[in-house]
Amino acid sequence: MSHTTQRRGLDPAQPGKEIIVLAMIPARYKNIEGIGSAMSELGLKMLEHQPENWIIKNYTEITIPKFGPAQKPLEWMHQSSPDATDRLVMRLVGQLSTVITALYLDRQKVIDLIQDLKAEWLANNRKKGYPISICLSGLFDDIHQCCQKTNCTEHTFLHSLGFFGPIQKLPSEDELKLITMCGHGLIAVNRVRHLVKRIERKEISARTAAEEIAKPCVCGIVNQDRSEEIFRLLAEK
Amino acid sequence: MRPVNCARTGVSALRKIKMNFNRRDFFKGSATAVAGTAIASCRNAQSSEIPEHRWIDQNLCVGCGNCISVCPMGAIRLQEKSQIDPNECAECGVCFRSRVCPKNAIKEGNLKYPRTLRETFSNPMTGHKSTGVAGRGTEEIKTNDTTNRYGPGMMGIYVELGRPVLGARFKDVERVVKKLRQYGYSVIADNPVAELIVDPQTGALKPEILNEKAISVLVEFLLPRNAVPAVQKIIQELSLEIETVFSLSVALRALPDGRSPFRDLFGEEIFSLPNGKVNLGLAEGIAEKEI
Repeated sequence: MSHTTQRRGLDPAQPGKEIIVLAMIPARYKNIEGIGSAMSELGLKMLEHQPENWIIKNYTEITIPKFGPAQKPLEWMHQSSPDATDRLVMRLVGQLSTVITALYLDRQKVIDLIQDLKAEWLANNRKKGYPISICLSGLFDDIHQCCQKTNCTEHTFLHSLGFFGPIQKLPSEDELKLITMCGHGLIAVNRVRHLVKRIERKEISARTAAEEIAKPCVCGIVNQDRSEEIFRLLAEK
Repeated sequence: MRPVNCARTGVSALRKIKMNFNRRDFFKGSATAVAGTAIASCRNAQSSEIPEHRWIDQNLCVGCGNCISVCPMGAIRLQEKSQIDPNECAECGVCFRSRVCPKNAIKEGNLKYPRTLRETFSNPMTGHKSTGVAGRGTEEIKTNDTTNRYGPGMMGIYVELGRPVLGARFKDVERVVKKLRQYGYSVIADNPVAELIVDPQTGALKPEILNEKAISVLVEFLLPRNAVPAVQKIIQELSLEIETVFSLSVALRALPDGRSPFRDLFGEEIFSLPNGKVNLGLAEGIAEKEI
């Protein structure tokens, strides 16, 4: 997942509005006894700090093959107790996956989350030998603010130099802002164009279109607020 | 064909999960085993005449066209009914997972090597056996505070082919690997492309995979920091030789004060996005021994 690094449309003039927190276990450590529980605990802490989106948040709307026959009961449970079921699913994801992601639209929430992790969770990991890495993705200035406020020092950077090759084949810059919100390239440009047409015909709202493109992104990193604005602009054009 | 009672199996699976949830070690094996067994049962219950690629059951398809726009590769076409073009399909599974088909006509194919590569590289819910990582199968900087893959004095160069929109054939991946080999650089060992190389000297990939297609393939190289001029030349050359789009990213260990050395190395003129990714180093020193 170089993933979020190619994300287009983040504006340095509008800081503090979009930061992704990503936690990862190096693959060769994923079978250490108890490390899955540490990831689950981390996932629950991420939820406590109110992300806008998170990994497999959309389990009621798409089919998750790894859940197998447990998915339908989870969907039923979600209807009556959504928060509790979301937490259960996050615990499952923490146990099964080497990666957890969450998207925050407020820098302060990320600062609070990191402070929370540094209070106890990290000390437990040190004691038990669980090397779970935490990365932030967003504007570098925002990330630096988060580091400063939490007494962290940046360890490793990943910079994008942009796109190369036959870039004339790429969609418009506004469409790219939507498409690059999924780091695995699962948002189809045809889907974006189809949804824009439906907004123009007043069949759906820009918000509905934003929710639609968030569905294929299983990592849960699509920013629906920003997507909604972009859809509105595209439909006005 | 006897239908599998998924609702009953599902309730039973969930009950088992709930029952064992207090036992902390449950999830390590049994949840996946329960799910895996059920999925395997569903697969076995299907006909033996399953195509070797994702397909749309023409007996079920009603030609509504709902599936057309969800395909990231534009591989679904509507004539009288919807059909998947197997040459363009990257086996990402979005059409199936999205639940856009009112008749459940989108079916999993009986994938065989080398087509299986399409799924492992394009479907983020499928793991790479060689690296144990899902998605593109790479850890990159995300675990650098444990792995120290990119230390001071070195830089990671990531060439990601095919994203956005166009997808990538492995013949283009081979061009990238060969180009970097010409300059003396090799794919890092724990990148999933490394196991596809048959000739480490030239960077040639297995010939049978060259026409396979993925939504994106990320190739990682480790270079000394004084190779920046070579990197700039490589980008120019690849831009003319590669048939698909690619992005280029640079991984750098921070300076001791936490600043990035990127501008010091690449200068002020080169374009780079104002956003990117940063490893916070919170796992540094935790892993005391190699596993």
